[in-house]
Amino acid sequence: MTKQMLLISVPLGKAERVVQLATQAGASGATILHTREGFAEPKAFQLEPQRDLVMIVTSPEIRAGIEESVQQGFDQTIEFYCLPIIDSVGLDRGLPIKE
Amino acid sequence: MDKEITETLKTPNTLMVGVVTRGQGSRMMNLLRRRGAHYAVCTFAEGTVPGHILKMLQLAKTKKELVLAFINDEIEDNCYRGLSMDLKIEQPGHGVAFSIPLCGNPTAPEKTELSGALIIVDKGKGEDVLDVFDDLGLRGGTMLSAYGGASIAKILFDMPVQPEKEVVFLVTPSEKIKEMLTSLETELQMSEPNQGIAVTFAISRSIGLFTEAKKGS
Repeated sequence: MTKQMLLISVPLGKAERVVQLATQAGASGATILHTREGFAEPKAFQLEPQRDLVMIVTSPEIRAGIEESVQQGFDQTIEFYCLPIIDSVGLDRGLPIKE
Repeated sequence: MDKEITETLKTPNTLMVGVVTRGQGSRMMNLLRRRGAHYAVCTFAEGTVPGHILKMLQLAKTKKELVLAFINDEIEDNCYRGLSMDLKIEQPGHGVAFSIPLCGNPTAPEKTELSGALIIVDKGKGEDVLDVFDDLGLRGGTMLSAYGGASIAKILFDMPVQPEKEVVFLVTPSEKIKEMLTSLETELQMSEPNQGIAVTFAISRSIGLFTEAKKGS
């Protein structure tokens, strides 16, 4: 079974909501990284906004459902990035498969 | 003069990952954004230097920053050129950068010489992962602090509990990946529930990585 890693970047504090929505859509877990965002042309005194980067390992079958569920839970447009996974360990017991 | 600004932002199809010295993360992010990266974020990380003496002296960890930039592969050359010119990234000790093709990238190679491994374990177990790498002769992992999303404690006590995790990232030749995954499975029992996960990605391009050839020169 092929797997993919979904990367979702949201403003700080919104990660829990993303995880909740993704779990409802069939995701089995998530990992959150606290990050800060960079700008193309920062000003002399520029604060870098903090972002939460949510990483979800999923199967291609339920990926679209997760994206739709997360997008519906937010007013602003959410960017989704997807990484193809070549091999894995520790996932074969947990990933739900869409009926 | 090298052209810096890319006028239009194209749909990203490559993830560019950079590991640089603490303090250089913002510089790298801004550089990549100026050269047309769609989006870039940065987080604190720790580089791991193998060696028993450094470990004994508690000097085996170096402070780093990990940059994730989503780019279109048309600007990839421009980004690598910028990293090479401004951050001198190909020189030893200045950092590393590599590219992972995203899903649906038409130019993604079938087979790659290098692979990246991302291992997510509970806090405190990152060292065990590094010990496994050490036994296999793999070097240069990067460790990050993260939080888990699945919390049993929250369900039980209705309290907001975020389990702490450690993420270890390692770039290694593709032929060693299978052996590494087998070792992680046997040594850390990763096939059992709640023992962590390990996933691997193809790496299409890299700069600044330590190689045995460089060591000899």
